[in-house]
Amino acid sequence: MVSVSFNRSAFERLVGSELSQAQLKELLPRAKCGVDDVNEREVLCEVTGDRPDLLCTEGAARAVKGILGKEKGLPKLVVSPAKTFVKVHENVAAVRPFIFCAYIDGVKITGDEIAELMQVQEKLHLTHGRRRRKVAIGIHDAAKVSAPFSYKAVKGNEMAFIPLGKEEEMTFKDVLEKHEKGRDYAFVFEGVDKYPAVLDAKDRVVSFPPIINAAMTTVTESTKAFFLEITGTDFEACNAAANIICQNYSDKGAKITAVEIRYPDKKVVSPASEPEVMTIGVGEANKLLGTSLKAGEMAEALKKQRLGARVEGDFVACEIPRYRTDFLHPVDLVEEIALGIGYNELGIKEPTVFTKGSRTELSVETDSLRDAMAAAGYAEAATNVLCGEEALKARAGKPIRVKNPVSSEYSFVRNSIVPVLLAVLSKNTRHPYPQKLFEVGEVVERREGSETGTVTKINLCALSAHKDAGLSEIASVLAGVLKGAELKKLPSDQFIPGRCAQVVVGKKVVGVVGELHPEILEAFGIEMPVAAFEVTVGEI
Amino acid sequence: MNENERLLLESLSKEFESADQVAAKSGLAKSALMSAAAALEAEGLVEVKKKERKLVSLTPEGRSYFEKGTPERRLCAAVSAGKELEFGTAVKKAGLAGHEAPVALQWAVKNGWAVVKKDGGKTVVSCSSLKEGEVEAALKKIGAKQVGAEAVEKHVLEILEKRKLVEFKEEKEISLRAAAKGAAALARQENVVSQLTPEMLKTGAWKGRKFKEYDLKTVVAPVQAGGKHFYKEFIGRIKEHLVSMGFEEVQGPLVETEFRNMDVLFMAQDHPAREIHDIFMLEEPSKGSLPDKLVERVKWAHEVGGKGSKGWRYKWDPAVAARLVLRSQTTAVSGRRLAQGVKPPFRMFCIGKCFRPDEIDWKHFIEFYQLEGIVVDDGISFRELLGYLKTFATKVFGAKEVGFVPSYYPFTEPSVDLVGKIGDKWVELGGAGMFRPEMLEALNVGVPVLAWGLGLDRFAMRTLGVKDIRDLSGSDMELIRRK
Repeated sequence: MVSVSFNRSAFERLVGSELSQAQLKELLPRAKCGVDDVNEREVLCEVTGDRPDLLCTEGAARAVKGILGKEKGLPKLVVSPAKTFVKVHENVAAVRPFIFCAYIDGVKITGDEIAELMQVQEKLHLTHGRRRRKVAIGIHDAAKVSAPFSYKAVKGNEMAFIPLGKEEEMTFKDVLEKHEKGRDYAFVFEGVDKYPAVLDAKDRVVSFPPIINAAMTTVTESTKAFFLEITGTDFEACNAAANIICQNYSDKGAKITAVEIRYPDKKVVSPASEPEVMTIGVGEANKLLGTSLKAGEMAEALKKQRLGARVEGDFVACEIPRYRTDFLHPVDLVEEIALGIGYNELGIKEPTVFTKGSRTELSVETDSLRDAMAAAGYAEAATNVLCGEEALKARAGKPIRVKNPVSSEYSFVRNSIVPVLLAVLSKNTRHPYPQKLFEVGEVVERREGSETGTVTKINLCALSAHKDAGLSEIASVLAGVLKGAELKKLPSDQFIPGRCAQVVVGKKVVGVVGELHPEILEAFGIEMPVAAFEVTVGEI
Repeated sequence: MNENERLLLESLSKEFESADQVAAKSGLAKSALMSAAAALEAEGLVEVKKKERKLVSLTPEGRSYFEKGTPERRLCAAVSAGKELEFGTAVKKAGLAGHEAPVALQWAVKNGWAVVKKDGGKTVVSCSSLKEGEVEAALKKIGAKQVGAEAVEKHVLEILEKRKLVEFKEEKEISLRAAAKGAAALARQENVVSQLTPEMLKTGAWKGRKFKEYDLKTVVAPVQAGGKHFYKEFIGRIKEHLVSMGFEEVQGPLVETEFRNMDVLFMAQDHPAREIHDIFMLEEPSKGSLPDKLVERVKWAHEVGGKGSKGWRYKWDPAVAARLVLRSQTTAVSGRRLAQGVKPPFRMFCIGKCFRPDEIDWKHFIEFYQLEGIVVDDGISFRELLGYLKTFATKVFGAKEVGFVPSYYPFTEPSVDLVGKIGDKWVELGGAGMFRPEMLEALNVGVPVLAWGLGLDRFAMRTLGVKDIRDLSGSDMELIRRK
């Protein structure tokens, strides 16, 4: 989900009618824009990850117009033939292979709209563009650049230009090392010694994608035409971004002119705006949805979703605009049919499958152990699997460390529950004793050769803390809940020497029992003897 | 009457005895004795007498007089009875120190032991009878001990005090004796039993015995009761619901390869949810292994798509798929189960912990419980999925109204979010959809699969009245013992 804010009056102007708060809250979620909040000025939305076209006011308005039936079918997009070109050098193929360009004429842009345009660009960069690695968008004042253009890879100190927001010339290398955007996005060029550059006819740097535009092309309120430049590593994703921007301005009355992209081996018209064609069988769609819709009803629903749709016998042939990238399979059209009708209008169908329910053996056993422990006077804890240094403090072996913890408190995956429950005791020393705790839960241990290099076990752990807590007490609890458990001598620095044991069932060592070593109690700040056991109940 | 009180009463006679004596006789510590005495006195079984008493003992000087004799005694002894001697010579002979000489002479005369004559320029001392003086008698009586001041005549004590031979100490003297009722109470006590024993039952010795009464006013500590955790119990109730609805439980590991957690679920390798901000990775081990056959099918789905699909069209990287992560969705468990092969109709659920990095606050935490469910059968549909969701919302979550909101998940199409009106608020309950054909083809499942993943924590907070999500796994003992 991506958070965006739409200017409410601009949105309503585009839809062509005023919409109440309730209407907005009803309509926008149907278009996959979940509404967080609506106020006089703006609408705050959460847009789903499959729809970059909805990150813009124009896109959301286009979708809502479809739902309202104000405008249906494929949105109009006229692209005039190219008058100029971009020459793509072959050396760019290894760095950032694709480029799409277009001219957008007849824009009237206010300061607010410039800010909004930048917001849209940033959201697209972050999501659709995968933090600019996959797709980056540059929008320039067309009057300040000269066609034709070239796109090539240059060495770090080969060229210099004044980047946006600066007043002095910088080389590409300088930009990466000193410019704030350069430092933010330097990761895109890891292990690369040449950088992509878009140059105009006079060999001036227009942009250093995906980092920064040249200052000379800055869009202002007096800009009348844009030169759009999109680069990236995924041909279709780049074209989709170009179509999103072009469609937005076309919706607002601007005129789009194509640019020819001359790759070493082929010529491509940019943007490629011919809709994609995909067909769905009426029977297949009805089967998946559980409906009995006619072909015409399906076509109508698809048109409300702003797709072109034509009935062809038992099939509906659809035209998908290029600003959408979420059609991989006809099943994606099935969802569009359901959306066009409205999920809440589809009506539910009572479940028809009948099967017998059951619990896993392990989960049944876990529950009976919990019953037994509670009956033995132990209170159940439900602690976290992620823990801090407790395991080390409690000498419980080597838990696996998380590579990217959110805080040191949650930097290990626990391999034992004893340390975590000791931490619970240490936080409750002001409460009366005896304190008797247990938990049945997951622990993770290394296991070489297993698919996940680890094994997740379900352990039962119990702790008893009071002035007379000792091995015989806790061992008698263990004997009561775990039938057939035998104790064998165990050398361990976790427990008081001679006052601990391995727990063996059959011939298998399943755990430990003993009186916690005073050094450990001291480390946890517990001034009360603690006896404990921990046994493995099963593996999942 | 407790044990100490009984012991004390047994040790007392009809005469007053000092507390020290009684302590020695009974073997009770002084403090235990005093508290037992107080209790018995209140019942009128013991009489306690308290007296302030002045004790006298000798100063170091008094002690030396007691050992070596008083200076006047030593002076007169040097002169010896009936004779006379020059004073200076006598002092020397008696071995008196300079300051002792005048004191000796003064008291020898006062006692009537000696007479002083002036013989020209000399002082001559003559001694008569040497009967024991009252000071000497008192010194002997006190000796090395502390004695009551009343043992020495008052005017003698004043002399001793004046001569700095004695010092005083105040003491409370307590003496006790059994009251008239004491003996009878004791006799009754003989037959009282404080604890019934197995032996008594065997031998019948309990018959005719009286059992000791409990003092009901004694404050007893409440027992710290055991019990099951409120959140685990909540989860248990949901499991019961699902089993009763015909679902089979499945469990799965917390550590997964990205392959199981993402790739099998048709999530492209550059999907934002696979970035380090959205999933926990492990340090060591950091890589797992990939199951041979399934890998080929999954790779195919991603790169080419398979039947009727374009796929994601990129070069699928097995190294990325092998990375180990903490499970971020229980859908991984469904994927594992489907990969093992299922025979439709099949319905399963999994309630398990999932992990995702997040800012931690009262409503966000990095570990959470998810309720996963799938239904596998030929002919099932999206409308039937909505039916299941409505059933869950109303039967399990207690929603009064239900809504379906369009959504997106990489592994489902169509996708839907379930919202329910609980109390008077619309609440998000979870996500659902039909597994994508690319995923099912890779898993070799030939029929549709309905799937949902519902978040349990927020719902538990509302149902259980927990204000802070962290309290669901909190460490506070009062919270843990909460019923």
